[in-house]
Amino acid sequence: MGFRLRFKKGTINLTIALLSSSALIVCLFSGVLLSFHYFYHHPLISVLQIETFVPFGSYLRKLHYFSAQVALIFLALHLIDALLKRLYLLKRPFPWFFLIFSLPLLLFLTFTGYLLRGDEVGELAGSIAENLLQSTPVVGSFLNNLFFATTQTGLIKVYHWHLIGSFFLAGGLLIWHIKARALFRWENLFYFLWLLLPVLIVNFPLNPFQGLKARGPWFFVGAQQMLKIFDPFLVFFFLLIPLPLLQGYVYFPKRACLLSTILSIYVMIYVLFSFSFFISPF
Amino acid sequence: MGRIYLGEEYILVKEKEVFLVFSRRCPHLGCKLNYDPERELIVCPCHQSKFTLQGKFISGPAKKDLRSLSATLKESGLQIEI
Repeated sequence: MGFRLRFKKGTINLTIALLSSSALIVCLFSGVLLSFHYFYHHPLISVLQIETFVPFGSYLRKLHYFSAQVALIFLALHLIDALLKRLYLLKRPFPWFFLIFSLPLLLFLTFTGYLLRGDEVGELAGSIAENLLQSTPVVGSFLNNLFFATTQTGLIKVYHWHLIGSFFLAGGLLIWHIKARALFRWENLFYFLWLLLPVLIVNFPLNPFQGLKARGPWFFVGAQQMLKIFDPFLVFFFLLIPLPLLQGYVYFPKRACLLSTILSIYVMIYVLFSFSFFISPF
Repeated sequence: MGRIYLGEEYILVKEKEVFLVFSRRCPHLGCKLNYDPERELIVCPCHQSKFTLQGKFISGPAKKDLRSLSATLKESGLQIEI
């Protein structure tokens, strides 16, 4: 175990970790409050009622959206921080898998949240997800029936997976990863409260129509651009690449440099595709 | 729009006295198509495939023409099979 002798334990960046976990909790609570007024049989009407009739409904919806984005961004940064400080050396393969799985799970939850809007934009994103899975050989149809099938069943599956996934993510992280006693302290109140302010000022992109050029969720734009060029099932497999690479850090710690290089190239390719959306002519 | 009507699941185009009806789903990944009145084209908002008002593929990743739907003009109105 030579690598363990050379390993110096780094300290995790607590600010990043606290920002991610506090945003996740704010997102969870705002989601619980919104769920009392959301009915998946009439998603668009529910959203309009939340926006117009429910006290602080519009604010809560924006808060739910914003806290989800903050949780996602800072969870990704937290993972990068853990990789840079080689903290995977302290984890066994199974717990490490669950930790890295929290990122694709949060991506899935943010994506399903996007679909639950029930508007034109959400419907377009749902169509892409459904057809993307259906064009994937062997497991595609099964996965679509399990998670989406919006054409046949509307948003019922999406809604329930959104709730189940949120429960597992928050429950799993709060029980096994986040130290609740360290998080819920008076001195950490700022990490929760700052989330409330931008929602008052910033107009978040929650428009129901996008006309002739629709944009999916920001983290999906790269895949959206790839789908213009590549076969859908190739794009689907491309999106899965990071998971085995991240798991590889535990099994091949001596190859960490190689894994980091591949991951960096992967991210660069994805970012380039994402930017191409904004510069491509209509 | 005049001679074009976008239904929930279909696109209806009136060409002189003939009605052309197409599925509103893009043949690429099933996004709901929209009409671009400036260019008089049918456009996929997701991946920018473009089609003529006759349903012919012009450009983009779809690579296929729009799926035609059967329509019959009856006394009570136009009957479209989806």
